[in-house]
Parts: sequence; C-alpha cells; structure tokens
Amino acid sequence: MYLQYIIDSIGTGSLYALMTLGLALVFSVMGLMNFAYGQLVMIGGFAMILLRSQPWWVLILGTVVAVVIVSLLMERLAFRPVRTATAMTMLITSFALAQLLQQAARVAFGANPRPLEQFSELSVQYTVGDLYISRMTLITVTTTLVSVVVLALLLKRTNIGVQLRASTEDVEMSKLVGIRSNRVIASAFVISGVLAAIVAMLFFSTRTNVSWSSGESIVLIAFVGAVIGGLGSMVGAALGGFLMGFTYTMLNALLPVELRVFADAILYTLVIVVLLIRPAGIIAAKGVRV
Amino acid sequence: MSLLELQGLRIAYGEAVAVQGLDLHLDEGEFVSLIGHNGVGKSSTVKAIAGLVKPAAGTISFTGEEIQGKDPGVILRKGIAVVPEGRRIFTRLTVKENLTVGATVRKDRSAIEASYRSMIERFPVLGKYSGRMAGLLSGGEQQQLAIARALMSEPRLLLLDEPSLGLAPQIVDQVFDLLGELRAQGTTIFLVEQNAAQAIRASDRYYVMRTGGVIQVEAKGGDSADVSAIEADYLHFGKV
Amino acid sequence: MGQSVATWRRWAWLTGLLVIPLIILAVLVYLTGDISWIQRASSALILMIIVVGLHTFSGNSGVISFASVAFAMIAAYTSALLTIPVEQKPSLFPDLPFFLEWLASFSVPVPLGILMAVAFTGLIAFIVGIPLVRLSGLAAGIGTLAFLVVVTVIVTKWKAVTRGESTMVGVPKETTLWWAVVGIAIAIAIAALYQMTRRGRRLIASREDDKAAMSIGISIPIERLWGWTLGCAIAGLGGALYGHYIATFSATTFGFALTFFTVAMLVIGGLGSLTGAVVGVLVVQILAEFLRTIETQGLGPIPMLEFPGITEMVLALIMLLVLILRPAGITGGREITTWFRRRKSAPAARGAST
Repeated sequence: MYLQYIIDSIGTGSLYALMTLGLALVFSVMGLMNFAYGQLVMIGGFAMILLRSQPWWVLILGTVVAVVIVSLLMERLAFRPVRTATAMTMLITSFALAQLLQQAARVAFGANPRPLEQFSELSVQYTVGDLYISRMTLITVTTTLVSVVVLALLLKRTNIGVQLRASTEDVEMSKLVGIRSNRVIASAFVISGVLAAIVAMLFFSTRTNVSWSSGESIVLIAFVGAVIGGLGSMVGAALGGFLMGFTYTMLNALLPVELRVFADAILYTLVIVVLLIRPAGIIAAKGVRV
Repeated sequence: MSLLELQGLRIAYGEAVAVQGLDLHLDEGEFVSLIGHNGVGKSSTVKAIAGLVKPAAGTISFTGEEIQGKDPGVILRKGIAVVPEGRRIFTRLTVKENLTVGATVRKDRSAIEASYRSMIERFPVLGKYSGRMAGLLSGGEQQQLAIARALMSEPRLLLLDEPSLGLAPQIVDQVFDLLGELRAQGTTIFLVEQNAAQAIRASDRYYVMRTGGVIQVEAKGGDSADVSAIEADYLHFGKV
Repeated sequence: MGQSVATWRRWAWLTGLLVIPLIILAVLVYLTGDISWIQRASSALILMIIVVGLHTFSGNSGVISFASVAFAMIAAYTSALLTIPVEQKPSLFPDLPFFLEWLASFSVPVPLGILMAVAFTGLIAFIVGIPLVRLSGLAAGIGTLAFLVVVTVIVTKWKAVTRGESTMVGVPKETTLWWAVVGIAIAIAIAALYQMTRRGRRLIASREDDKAAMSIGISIPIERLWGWTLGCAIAGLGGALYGHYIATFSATTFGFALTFFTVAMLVIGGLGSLTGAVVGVLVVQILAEFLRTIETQGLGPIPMLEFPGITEMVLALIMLLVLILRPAGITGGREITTWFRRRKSAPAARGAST
C-alpha cells in the first residue's frame, strides 16, 4: 500500500525535478527566474499535437527543435536587453513574456483546450507482486535519471560546461578569462529548452489535451522547487523539484478524502515553512544572493 | 614603441573622479609597479586597462593600438591577462578546470594541454591538488592558481592587482619571488600594489600614484634606499 | 503625530497632485454619460487602489510581493459574507461550519462591511506578515506567491463558506464611480502620509541600504511588517470595493492574471514611487481599453480583430517593450512633486552640487 504510493510519488517527483532543472540552470547563469519557462513546455505540447501523426523520432526531434528555437529567441529578444537591470525587472520581464506567449498561443490555437490523442503504448501497466508500475512511470524516472546524468557530464566534461559553471560563480571574472557571456547564456537557454521539451513530452503524454494555460502550473512548481531546493545549485534544484512532486502525490494519497482538496494549500504552506527555516534553500550555494 | 601606454587617463563614476590625467608606459620585458595607498584609483586603473570600466577620457594603447573601452575578452585576446584583486579564482571549479578556463582564448587543444603540464611543473602544489575544488586551497595556493590561470592564456603582459593583499608575510615573499622568476624568464609584468617596499625592490621601474591619479614619481626600482623617503612623502605608510 | 508643517505641506501637495487629476478625469467620464466608460473608469480606479496597496509595501521596501491580490480576495469575500442580505444567507450558505454560523444571523450595511473587511484583512496580513516579512528577494517572491496559492485553494475548496468554485452571488452591488473616487483618494492620502512619517521613511531607508539602516538602529522586520500590514489593508479596500462593484465573483477573479497585471502596472509606472503606481495603472488601463475596443468592435479604420486573447497579447508585448526600453518605469521611481520642485529650483541645485 505505502510502497505503491511511494512508487507513484517517485514518478511525479522525477518529472518535477526535471521541470525545475531547466529553470534553475538559467537562473544560475544570469540570475533570471524565467517565468516564461512554463510556456516553453506549453509550446512543446502544441508541437506534439501538430506532429502527432509523424513517426516517433520526428515527433521527438521536432518538439525539441521547436522549443529550443523559442527559448533562444526569448533570450535574444527579451532577456539580453534587460540583462543588466535589477532582478525584479528581469522577473517582471519574464512575466510579461510568459503572458505574451500564453496569449499568442490562445490566439493561434483557440481558447479551448486542443485534444491530444493518447499514446496507447505508454499506458501499459506492469505488476510486481501487488504493486503496479505503469510504463509511463518507468519512462519518466529513466528519462529523468538519464537527463540528469547527461546534464552533469555536460557541465563537468565539456568546455562550454566548465565555462557555464565559471559564469555561474563570477560573471565579471569569467569575462576576464575571455569567456563570451553571450555564448554561455545562449547555451544555457538551449539546454533549458531541451529540458522543457522533454518535460513537455513526459507531461502531456499523461494528459488528454493541451491548453494555452497549461504552462502556468508547471512554472509555478519549477519556480518553487528551484527556490526551496537552493538557488544556484543544480543538485538542490533537482531535489527541490523532486520533493515538491513527491510530497504532493503523498499528500493526495494519505490525506483523508475531505482534506484532499486542500493538498495544494498544505504543500504551499510547507513551502513557506521551508523558506522561513532556510531562506536560501535546502542546499544553499555559496555566494548566491537571494 | 611601448608595449602599454596610458595617456591622460581619466576615470569617473558619475560625479566622483577616481583617476585624473594619468600617464605611464611600459616596455616589453619590463617589470613596472604602480604604488599608492588605498583609494587613489589604482584599482580603477587596472579595471580600465582590463576593459571592465570605460575611461571618461584619455587613451590606453597596447602594442600601439588603442584599446580603451574595448571588451575584456577582446583585450585579453590582444595579450593582457589580469590577476584581479582578491584572486577571484572559481571556487566551485577544480584546480585543473580553473587552469583550462584560463586558456579559453586559445584554440589548440594539445598546446593548452602542454601549457597545463608546464604550469603544474612550475606550481607543483597545483598539480598535487588538480582534481580538488579550488575553494579548498589555502590563500597562498589560490594566489598561485590565480597567477597560473592568467599565464594559461600566454599573455604578452601580466597585470596584477594587489596580489599580496590578505596573505601572510612569508607567502607574500613567495609571491614576489615568483614574480621575479617570471620576470627573469621574460614575462612583462605590471604590478599594482599597496605594499610599496616589496614592489619597489622587485621592479625595474615604479610609479607612485596619489589621490586624483597624478603621478608624482617615476623612478628606478631595486634601490631600497628610496623606499623610506617615498613612504614618508607620499604613502603615509604608517596607516597601512 | 509630531510631523512638521513642511511634512504636512508635502503630503498635501503629493496627495493633491495625484488625486485632483483623477477626480477631474472621473467627472469628465461621468459627464459623457456613457455607461461603458463609467464602468471602465470605476474598475480602473478600484484596481488602482490595489496597486497603491502593493506600492505601499513593495515600492517602499523594495521587496517583491505577489500577495496583494490574495488580500483583495480575502476582503472581497469577507465583505460579501457580512453584507449579503440575511434572508438570502441560508440558501446560499446552508452548511456553514459551527464556528461561523453566527454569520448567517445578521447582515451589515455595505460601507460598514467594507470597513470590517479591511480591518479583518489587515489583521490577517499582520499575522501572516510576522513570518513572511523576514523573507527577502526571490524567497519573498516565492513565499508570497505560495501564500496566494494557499488562499486561492482555500477559497476554491472551502465550499461551505466561499461557495467553492461557484460564484459568489447576492452581494450588494453598491460601488459606483464616486465610491471608487473616494476609495482611491483615501488610499493615496494614506499611502502618501505613510511615506512621509518616520515609519515610512525608515522602510524606504532599508530599501536604499539595508546595512546602513540596520546600523542606525532600524529594525527591518518591524518596519516591513508595518508597511506590509498597511499595504495589504489598502489592497483589501480595493478588493472589497471591487466585490461590491461586480457583485458576482469567484477565486479566478483574483487569480494569477490579476496578480501579473497589478505587479506589471507598478513596475511599468516606476517601482518606488506612489506616482508610478498611479501612472502605471492609468497607462496600462487606457491601453487595455483601447485594445479591447479594437478587439470587440474595431476603431475607426482599424477593423475588428475577433481573436480571443489578442488584447492581452498586444498588451503583454507593449509591457515587454516598456521594460526593455525603460527598465525603471515611466516615472523612473520619482514622485510627481520632485518633478515640480526640480523645475523650480534647478539653478540653485546646480550651484549647490559643485
């Protein structure tokens, strides 16, 4: 019984961890909390609808390319001009951008949610003893683990990864050693876009439709997960996202029925408590101003 | 032609003038120091040369080409590497990563690898801790790393801002010994220091900077007899 | 309160310069007799009260808050619960919990209901403010956002008291354009006064330089708590008036969209000044109404653009451009009074600064 809840919670937790990583990466490089990140996932959802009838590899590739392009445009057109402004202005800029993309999707795809035909091959259930594991949960957990490992290798082993980490720590010094910050920030947006596309594919595979407002709840989770996990630390961000998803699913499973509708309220109250105890997050990176 | 030449340099932050009418020059292979007490605009001068602040007036020429107001990356690619005040090593990168990141402007991978090997030969402690997070090194080791990182770009001019700040006296001696060695091997060095006595002893020539950035003295280095007179006249050394 | 004559004079100037044009505007709109314009002006002024409340905390403290709309929501529901006619209450709220059953036994006149709602909102703000004002920067953003989520969930799910996802009905529809004018005048007068009292100045000092403020003995949490409570109560005034203006509302009326618009209006107007709050609302609202007119009926040579969302989309685009081209907002965070004063005394100031 409890083990079943834990398995389900790990599934949600992994997805949320992945959501948080893309947001946290951009934050750590340029101090921007990108509220428009959720809209990247939403755009990924619409890309999936448009590519639904294509072979699977076209669908995956197409979704990733579409989201990465929007992510790069975001950086170039909206965030680069405000890079030196205050954190508040950057945050509000991302707010406005999120609103713009959301409303643009509403204009383009209509106000009603668009149905997304389900992928029947993903809904297979495996039984181990009296435990159920859906194929989707397995895919989600595996994808998250692979993504985290690939991201870690990218940051550790490649030149651009090392430059990215250097910029995360000290932007001015990174310029003094000749790192081109435009390039580094653009690559952070590319990685963030890839992660958003992966999240979109995992998230919408379990949903029956995509709506212009789908991005809102996702960015809220990512935003909160990144902050409570610890800004500037990738491990912290993943952990924060994981805890959000894990706690949410556990609350839904364990709360008495009449209180279940308040699961969100309880979760976000816990968030406030965590922030009060550790304002810099569970794993606080040194030198990050919050 | 001088390697580096500042003419009529003026740096201002809004209304506050940090440097006013600074002239100095530096030839290939020289070790030149700029000394002066806290707040006379030494750091602003370094920042202007490195491209972190735009001078309000005047020129900075490097190998005859004006570089004032250019981006730090551009200036580094022309051959000026900076060891900034407070070392500013990347604490969450390993020692080896700090060194490779110092060679960002170079392309040839095998040449960079060769420089890395010669660097850990010169600084054995960096080789010993190559896989360790740089933030775990001691102050003196971090200073070595900061200098080594700057050298990784194979600069024509090494610009150091207060390398002795915050270090124990015997470590400061080591840093100056190192600078002497580098000088002997032909590296051109421009040192900005509060620690006037050691800077004067180590350098070929030195400039003294006073509030407003006016150069008061330009003298031959190495002669410690001058030091006390300069300290008394211009540096108010008792305070430092 | 021990304020000098000069302080009172400055207060009168700032309040007057902001309120009088708004009154003139309201009278002009009223004289057109066009119902839809009167409605638009009313809702803009009510929204302005919420933004003034947001400014009172965020503008003066420099700490972002996404919670002002949550307090507007609390006040709107509180005033509704107090003022819905007593004979309608049993059918609207058949399952009130035992500790709130007394609510069904009476109802109060709307002005009293609004006052009580504001007081209640202030009390809630004070209580949740004790922990929340300790957060700064992004943590404050997340903390207040989390609070907004908590309030939204409670309002949406606590069916017995809030009617859950169904709309609140039976709320007396009494707010008129003149109520809105009185409301914004009160809000501006109080916000302006607060900025000039010692308390407000201390909060502003902590925004400019928190270390220096602490070193001269300012307790930042205490000053923030004052600004927060006052700001949330002002937002509550806006929320309560809004409830009695639209008369039917639900939690989605006070959701993220409204939060985004209020924060964006403040930033576009210029964070840090009361003038910025007023100007931001005016500019964004006028622009929004202009766009909405195009969307629904076309304007002159511009044809009707019947795409749901196009108004919001263009509005967001314009906001984005303002942020990119003028990150400090339209007013640059300065008050209208300094603008007048600088013109008058410009030569003298130049002489003094050298």
